[in-house]
Amino acid sequence: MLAPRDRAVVSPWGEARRFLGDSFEAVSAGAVTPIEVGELKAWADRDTSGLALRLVGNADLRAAQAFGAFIREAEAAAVAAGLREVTIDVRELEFMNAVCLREVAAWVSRLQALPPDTRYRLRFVTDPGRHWQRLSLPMLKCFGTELVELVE
Amino acid sequence: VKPTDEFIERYRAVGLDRLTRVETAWFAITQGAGSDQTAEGLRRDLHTLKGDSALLGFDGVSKLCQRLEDLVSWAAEVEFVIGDELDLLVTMALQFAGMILRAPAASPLTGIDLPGFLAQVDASLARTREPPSREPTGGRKREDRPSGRMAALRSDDAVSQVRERLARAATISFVEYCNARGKARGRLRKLWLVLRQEVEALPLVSIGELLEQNVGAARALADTLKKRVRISLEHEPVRVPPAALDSLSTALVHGMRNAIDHGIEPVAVRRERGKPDVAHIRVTARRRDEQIEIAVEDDGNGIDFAAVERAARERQLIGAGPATQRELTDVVFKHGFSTRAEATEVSGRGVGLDAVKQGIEKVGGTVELTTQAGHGTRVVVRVPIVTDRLDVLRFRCPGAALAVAVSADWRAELERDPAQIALGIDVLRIVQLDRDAAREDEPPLGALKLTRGHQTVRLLVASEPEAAVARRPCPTGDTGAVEVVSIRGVDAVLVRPERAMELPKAREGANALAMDRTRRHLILRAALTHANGTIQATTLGAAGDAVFVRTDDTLRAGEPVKLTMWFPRLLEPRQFDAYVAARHAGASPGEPAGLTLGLPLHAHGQRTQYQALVGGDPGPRLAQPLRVLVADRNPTLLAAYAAAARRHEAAGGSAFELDAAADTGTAWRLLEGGHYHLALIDHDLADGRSDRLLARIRATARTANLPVLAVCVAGQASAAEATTAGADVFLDKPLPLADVFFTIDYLYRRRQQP
Repeated sequence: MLAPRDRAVVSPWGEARRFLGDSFEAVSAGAVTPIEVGELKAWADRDTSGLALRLVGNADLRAAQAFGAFIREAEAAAVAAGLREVTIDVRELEFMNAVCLREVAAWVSRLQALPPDTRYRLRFVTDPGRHWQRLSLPMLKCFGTELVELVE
Repeated sequence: VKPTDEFIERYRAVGLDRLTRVETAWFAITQGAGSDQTAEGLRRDLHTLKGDSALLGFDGVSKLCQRLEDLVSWAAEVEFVIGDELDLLVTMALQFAGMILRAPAASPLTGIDLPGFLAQVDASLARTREPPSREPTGGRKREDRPSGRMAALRSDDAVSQVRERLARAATISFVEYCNARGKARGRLRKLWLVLRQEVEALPLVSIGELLEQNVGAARALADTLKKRVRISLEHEPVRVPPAALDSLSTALVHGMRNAIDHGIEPVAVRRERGKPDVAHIRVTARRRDEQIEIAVEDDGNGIDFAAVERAARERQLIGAGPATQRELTDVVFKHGFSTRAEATEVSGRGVGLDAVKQGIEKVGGTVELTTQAGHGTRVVVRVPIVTDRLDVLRFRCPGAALAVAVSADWRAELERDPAQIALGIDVLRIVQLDRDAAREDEPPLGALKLTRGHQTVRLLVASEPEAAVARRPCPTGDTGAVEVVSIRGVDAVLVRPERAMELPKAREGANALAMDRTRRHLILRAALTHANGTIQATTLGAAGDAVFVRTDDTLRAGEPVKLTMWFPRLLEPRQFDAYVAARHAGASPGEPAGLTLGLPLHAHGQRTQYQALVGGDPGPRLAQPLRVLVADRNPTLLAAYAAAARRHEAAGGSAFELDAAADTGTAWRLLEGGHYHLALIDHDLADGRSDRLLARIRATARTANLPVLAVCVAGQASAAEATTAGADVFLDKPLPLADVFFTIDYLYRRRQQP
């Protein structure tokens, strides 16, 4: 789904543009607005299986509000497109604090409130070497074992 | 009584409001903007939501609130300097609870895993018992860092934890074995021995590899020194305590070096002595009873004791007279002693056997050297499998043959004054050991007063305590109340007085008393007078010789108190000598914080008085309904009161007629115009606190003698306010509603008896 990343790239933002290629502008403008707040960079891509979100850096309090808006846009895009799955790549997300995680948990809660035939799955691409992911994401999966998938 | 849909909807709406308040308060706390009031309000909201949820069958929300309360307690423990993990857990738990509350009944949640979620919270809470990080959130590095979890997973820690748990199981099996009769006794003894063996073996490490390595090194040494030696190794699959490993390695190295360098004669000499050219060093390792024995035996020179005596005399290590072989053997183990004129690369510095001896003795072992001039030397090292030892005071308890021990770090004093003996604790009850039939009526010799720091405990004893050394084959760790030890080869029970008071909690005593919801408990006012003052509290049940008192005050286990129990206007005060048997933090769902008090009822008349208070049949149900005014602003609770009263009546209790009021004005109007047997008043009513209502009740002749039970979630401060204003008994929420109606009914039925 995601192309191999160039480890030498310093700026994830530049990397995003290169990574997304021609589709970058269309996706960012049309579906989910990319954000760059504090140490967090987040952007979206629509790939063959759905919407792919990529989070890089550090989702801390400074990023909370923008991150919440980013999540809601992604949510709206997924519903509008009738997607069955949204991928969230957090492998390069060093940390997500409780306030930002709240936004993700609330997303799963809202998914639960959708009619069963419109629910879609959140597929987290994780790095289990990161402590916050080992702690938080299995708990998030408990919110809906059929709605949250964790892959390494 | 099934709540109506409207009722449930209201509960959901109120519950979500409460969660929003909790979330806001929590955020303020994490940002350092919270105050004591913020935390207190947060706790109250959680507590109320927990109670409401349990009442209406939302067990998931109730459990989540319980975990949130635990997490907030954790936060309080770290003085509200909130770490990332704690923040994440609280946030996730709040979201989970919100998700359940928001889920419409018509569209159930898909695939939620509440048990899994709770288990993860519990695992984190368990880890918090390790020292928490006190770094503030803002100043912390965000990246992954080694956590307590990783430390806990280290294998040695894991082995240690498993060993402690297994040791506790072994201890229980030992007690059951002691109590058993007939065929079961033999079976339980076997179980005890197997478990004990497993506990012993768990931390042991194999020394097979160590032996092989040392023998290999010794062969290389023999080649270097051009000595023709055959080294044989015979060993069972021997395992030793890790603590003894270094000492044993040292002993092996020195034993074999000495044998090769000193012991083995040149070939010419061996031939002269009729020995084979190739010398033989035999290394054996085996288990003997509870010891590991390693021997290094050679067929060489043996020790030249004449040379030893000369050298020892020159260095004035022995007296002028003839020395015994024993004395000379001791000299060989002295530091720096050698008969060699010059040290070699290998030996002769006089450093070796002394180091071996010191190391082995350090782990409780012994070194034995036997030698025969011209025939060889044998060095035998023995180390106990169980290296844990403890200095103890050993004594016997009334009614038991089995020896009991306490750590010698308690200051002990035997008291024979009957008043002090009356405060003594029966150790057999703590350990759950039955009394021997032959010693059933054995009186105590005295009370062994044990003091350590601020802790004082009195144990009943039947013999003078004596100092001894106990071996610990099954160490249960410092948190275990009881452990089986071995004193001079005989099993004894080691009691940790500081923990022993908590043991009944795990059995039928304290915890069962507080938690056993199948029985009804009397709710009485309690006053605990102790060395530093008096605590006003509420009792919640009495069973056997123990009373559970609901209070946040923390008295020390073992502390003697005067306990007075009564219900003003309904029951006269009764006073008992008691001691604090256990303290409960109220950590589990539905478990209130409080103290279990032991009542040594063998003092004259105390048992009769106690049974008159709480024992026996209160008589037939009342002919007329009991009229109770319930004042509470929470409609959920008002409905719950009504349901509980109906259940009480349905179960054979007296009938109740309840009038409800949500505010002080309505409550007073009802009280003025009605005839009530009791008023049950929440401290926080819709139009404010109930203090003025209570004062008015007491100031008005018509209601001055009305028994009043006040309830609140706010703890001791509210309790003091309410009782000062005129409440007779104060009770923290969540309320044991069934107990409330049982108590009122019980007391009125007792009053109508002649």
